[in-house]
Amino acid sequence: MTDFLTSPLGFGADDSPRTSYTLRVNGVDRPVADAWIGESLLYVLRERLGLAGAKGGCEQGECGACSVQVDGQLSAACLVPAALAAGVEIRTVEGLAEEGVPSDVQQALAESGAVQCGYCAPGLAMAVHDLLERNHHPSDLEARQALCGNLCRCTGYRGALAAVQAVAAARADEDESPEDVVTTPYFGDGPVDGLLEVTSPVEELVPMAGPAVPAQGGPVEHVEGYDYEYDEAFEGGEQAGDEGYDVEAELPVYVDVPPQHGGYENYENYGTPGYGTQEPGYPQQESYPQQGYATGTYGQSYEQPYGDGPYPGGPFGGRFPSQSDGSASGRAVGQAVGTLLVTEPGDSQELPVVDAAQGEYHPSAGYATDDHVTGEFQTGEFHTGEYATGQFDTGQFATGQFDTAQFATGQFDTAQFAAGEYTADQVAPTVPEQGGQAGQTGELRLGSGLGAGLGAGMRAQVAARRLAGGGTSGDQDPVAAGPGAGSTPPKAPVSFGGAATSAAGLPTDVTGSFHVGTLSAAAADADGTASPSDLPYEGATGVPGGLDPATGVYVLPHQHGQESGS
Amino acid sequence: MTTPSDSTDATGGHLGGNPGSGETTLTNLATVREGAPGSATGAALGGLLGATPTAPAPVDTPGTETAAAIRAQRSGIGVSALREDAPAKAMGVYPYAADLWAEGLLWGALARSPYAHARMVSIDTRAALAIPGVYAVLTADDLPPGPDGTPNGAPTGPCIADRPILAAGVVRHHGEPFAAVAADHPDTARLAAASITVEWEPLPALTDPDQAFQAPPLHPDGNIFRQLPIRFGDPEVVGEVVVEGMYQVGRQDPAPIGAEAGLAVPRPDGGVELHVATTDPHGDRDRIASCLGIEPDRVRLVVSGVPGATADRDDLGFQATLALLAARTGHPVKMVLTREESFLSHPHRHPALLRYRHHADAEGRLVKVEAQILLDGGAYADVSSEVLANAAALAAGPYVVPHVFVDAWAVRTNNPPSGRMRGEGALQACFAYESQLDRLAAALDLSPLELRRRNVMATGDLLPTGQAVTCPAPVRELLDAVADEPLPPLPVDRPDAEWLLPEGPGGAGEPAAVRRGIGYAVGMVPMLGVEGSDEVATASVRVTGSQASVICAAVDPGTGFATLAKQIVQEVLGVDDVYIAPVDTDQPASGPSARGRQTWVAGGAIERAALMVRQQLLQPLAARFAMSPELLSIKDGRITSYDGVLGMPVLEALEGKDLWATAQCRPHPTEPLNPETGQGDAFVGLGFCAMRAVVDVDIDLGTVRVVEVTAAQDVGRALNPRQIEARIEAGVTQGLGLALMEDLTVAEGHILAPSLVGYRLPTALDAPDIRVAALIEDRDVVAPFGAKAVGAAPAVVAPAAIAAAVRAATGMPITRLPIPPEDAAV
Repeated sequence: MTDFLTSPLGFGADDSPRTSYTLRVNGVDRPVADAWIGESLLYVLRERLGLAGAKGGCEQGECGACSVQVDGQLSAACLVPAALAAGVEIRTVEGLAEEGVPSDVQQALAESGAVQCGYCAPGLAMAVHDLLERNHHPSDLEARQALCGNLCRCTGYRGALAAVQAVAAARADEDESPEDVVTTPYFGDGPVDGLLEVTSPVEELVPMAGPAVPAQGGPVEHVEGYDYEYDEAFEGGEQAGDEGYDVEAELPVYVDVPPQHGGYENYENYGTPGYGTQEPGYPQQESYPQQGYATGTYGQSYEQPYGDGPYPGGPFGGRFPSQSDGSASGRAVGQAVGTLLVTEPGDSQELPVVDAAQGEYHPSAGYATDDHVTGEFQTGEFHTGEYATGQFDTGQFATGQFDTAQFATGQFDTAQFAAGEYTADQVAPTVPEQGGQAGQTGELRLGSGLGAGLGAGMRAQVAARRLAGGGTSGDQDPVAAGPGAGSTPPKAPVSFGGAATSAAGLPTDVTGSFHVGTLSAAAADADGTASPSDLPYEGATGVPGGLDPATGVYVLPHQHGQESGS
Repeated sequence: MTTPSDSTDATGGHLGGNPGSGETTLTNLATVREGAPGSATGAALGGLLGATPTAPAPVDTPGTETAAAIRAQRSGIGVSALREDAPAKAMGVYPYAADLWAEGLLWGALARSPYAHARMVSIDTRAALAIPGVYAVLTADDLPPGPDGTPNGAPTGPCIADRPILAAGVVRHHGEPFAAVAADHPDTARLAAASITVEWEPLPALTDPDQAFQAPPLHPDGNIFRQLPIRFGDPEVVGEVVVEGMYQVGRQDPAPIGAEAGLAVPRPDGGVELHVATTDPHGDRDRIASCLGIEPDRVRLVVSGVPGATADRDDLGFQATLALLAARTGHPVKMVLTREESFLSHPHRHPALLRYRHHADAEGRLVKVEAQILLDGGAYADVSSEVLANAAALAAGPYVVPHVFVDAWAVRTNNPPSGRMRGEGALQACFAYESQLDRLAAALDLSPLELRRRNVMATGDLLPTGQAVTCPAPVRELLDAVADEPLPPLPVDRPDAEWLLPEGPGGAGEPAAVRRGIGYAVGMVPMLGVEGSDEVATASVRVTGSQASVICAAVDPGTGFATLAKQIVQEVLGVDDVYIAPVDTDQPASGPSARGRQTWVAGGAIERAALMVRQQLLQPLAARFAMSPELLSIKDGRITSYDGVLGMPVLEALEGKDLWATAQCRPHPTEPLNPETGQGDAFVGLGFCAMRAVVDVDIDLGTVRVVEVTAAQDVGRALNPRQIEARIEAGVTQGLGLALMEDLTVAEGHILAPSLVGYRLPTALDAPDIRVAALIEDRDVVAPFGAKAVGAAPAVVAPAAIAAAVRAATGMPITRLPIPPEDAAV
């Protein structure tokens, strides 16, 4: 149990701050000695621990090649400071294969043609494992969303998407009772059913250190540092604020979101029988190295005043806040981060949960019984784009659609909204200006989506322009009217000239709005090359050349001089 | 298949029933304009929402039937064999250069120019050397001096040696390396590189290729890499219908997911051993040796796993400095470029400006094509002259054109370097001539498909260079194949949750604003090197006991050549167990893995070597059977006589034998194009591809989603159908990137966002359904197995097809790649 805050911090020979810690990778404790504190988890895994399975592609959380699971959550290892990952379970691609035998996902990736040059394949394998642990029956769109943080240059993702479906189908065939998938209350990546045994060979490779948790609901061995009263409160279902919550009878709403540890003060709202209790046939010990929860990995954590430290948001501050907007885990912003599963008697429904809800929107009995859950989230009114443009009207909350009291208690951190961490639209300004050519809408990445708010504003502009402009487009034929028509104002006809033009047989009397003046000028020289001394570098007329961003027409630098010259 | 008249009626009917859609005028226009088959052409999808959804056609995954049909055969040619290394790659244990490690290794880093064009007045490396842990700081002064005795940065290059590996005196593009550092930690090395003090004298940057002709020379070699005119036919001819357009292709980056990386290990003899992901090991070895001033045999290149190669991966500014660092420090040195450095230094696709004028007669037959092509070659020559030849010679496309006049230039600027990237030259021209064909179809009121059908070339027609197309040219068949494929269902048939609008899930999508368009394009690419380059490869095949091994220095950069090599040996020798040796420069050269040449050249060498081994194997057997060895055949692991009477398992015949043969393959030579007229037999062969793209365009916002791309390709012979489909998939996705999003934005020579945030690659959400309508197997008699290279053609055609589809959906003249949203918004 070493992390950055408690481990000895020293300085190396070159006065750089150094520290020692132990990483728990694939169930094995791997000490790291005297390492510069700034090293990323990716660097430490690859260069200090020799686990080169996670690949470095961009070092900025965009390509997904370095995907690993940190504490059960798919993360970009290049963005996680290694010293801060000490003490939590890290699962890398090496932990997927069992004794040299590829996992079902890896085998499916190889067979489906998803692996060409293969550099993105380890990250893809992690992402597919992660997806299938969260969602046993992903639709095509869900699979695309889950994989859109993994860039691949050698394929068109067909193989990877096919592999997702193949493995999902194969696992469903193996599973005797697939209904459990939707009825077992569980949160995040915790064990659900026997399926996970297939994907988590870690346990069998190396016995877990620490106290064992009996699988059949026996007495839990008490471990130092863990709040057992808290745990028992869960079992009793009597904890404060839970309002008579009955685990067995009514648990209509589950959020299939990886556990978020930013909000420990709301821990009581988890309402998760899976962590404290052991249900019959609930193979926690065998299936997944989640003892961290039972043995108190987090026991100490929620004592700490994270908000004041250098890493806002806690010791994992470098990780979780950034993941809340999806970027750190290599996901595109705006995608669904999990599934809101709404079950009613005789019916169940899966709803995607978008970013803003991640982590903060914990299900509770109160939410479940309120009517806004199914309505608001389902129809997408609760949307990232609206935050960006300020359409998130607090009045709506006041009217009782959302209980403002719940927001006030910190389930929604208003400061984070203000900082724009959740909004797809506000991510765009972090990209440097793309010049005039790309224009206002140049930042549209399909995977990340153009936020609804910004999009609506642009649509309104388009409508206004159409209304005002009348016939600039639409009622004339832009193609037949010639190049540049429709979107560009007509330009003065320019006649072509020059030796190259006549040599090329271009009739000099044909006019158009495009012009390659200097090409002609260059070839006009008898020897075919331009003589720099003849013509000033800056241009004869001072007309700047290049693509006019307003009209999309290539403007020539020496247009006027050229005309007279030829 | 829906006929054109059906489609118009169907669409019109829907629209008539939904006058409230507000897009009636535009939609009708687009429909009439396109006039192409397909009921969804230009239809406002929002208007169709209320209509009764038709049953969604089952989207069959292409390849399943093919796979089933060939599953009977176990190995050899035509089998969809899997990549042998795929499981290892998926498990993360396959080593790439960045994964290598050596005892006592140091980390290298490069100091790069912050200016696009500047003079280095002085360099002070003392601050960098003073940092603890720094072992060496090298500049151009540490390289062998030039002929005049002053440092010149040891210039090198694939065609013309003009690119210094460390800039001497002047930097000519943003990110050009001028110093190299070795230190004990990567961050120390980067820190040291950043603390090198340089007194810069910024010079005016030449960033507009149009100005290169008049600007002062940026380099002693001048600003014009090459000027190539093509004069074919009668210059005075004028067609009855003339259309003219100006087209622009942006700067696409190869953006391999694995950035450049390498490990250099010093050798006791003063040489160096380099583990790098190159695609041209022997060429790199020679160039590195000349940069270091040592003999080529003291440099050994070992090719590690190549993390993606859609372009040349031989960045010598990185490889040669790495070798130099190892040689100077005596330590192994590892260098992994950051993504930013990778964007700055490796070659990009040539940005192009193309001006076209097409003349046709009233029946729509092409009469004359005039073109002016300007390629921005960046600061150094690289392969610009070859790219220019491709662009100019293929400027008229796969059409019969009696009169072609082209003027093409590749010029030097202070922009990021341009070089070889899949479909180089051919791609830029393809976008322009296919756009012109659409424009001409509009002017003639013909369907784009019909206009193309009237003009496509076939075997025996002439290229504008005067060369006769002797290889199969089934362009018409390819077009018909994609046109006959059923269209994808409309999204109204899908559940809302699965409806992927152009803005992506959870985005600003508005179904009423989405229109669907269908576009067609055909294109062609040259096979192998052009204009007299000596294409040769050497391969050895050895059989011992039950195993065959192949030694061939042809790099498989993820394209599947190793799998092909294995299949070839299996086919010829009947041995299933084939080992492909890793590539290093101790083996005979096989040339670069580029231009789709390895399937032909190295594949041909492997086939010949295997045939020689086969002869050695059959000769004694034939003597024993008392018949000529030609009467024996190898099939399903058995040697059988012609009458089927005598036979023996191959493994039995091989027992105790060690057979070995080495062979070369050298295709028939080509000749340079005439510098005055552009005439000459410059190409060994040509490959063709046709595509149909179906796109959804949000006409308010100009956002595009490619729904489906259907491809038909001329492959000569499908050696591995699955791998060909993978190549098509890769090409389509890369082409989609260029068509819609990939543009490395450069201002005043500076790359503004050298990262995967600013440079957007297609993701799983962007990827369209890809359907292979046909792989036309019309064998090319001069190619080994009759097979053509397949990698480049899909990448060439896809951008043109997608642009045509956007054009059909919006009615806008799409003249720029990538298509800016403002161009696609109506």
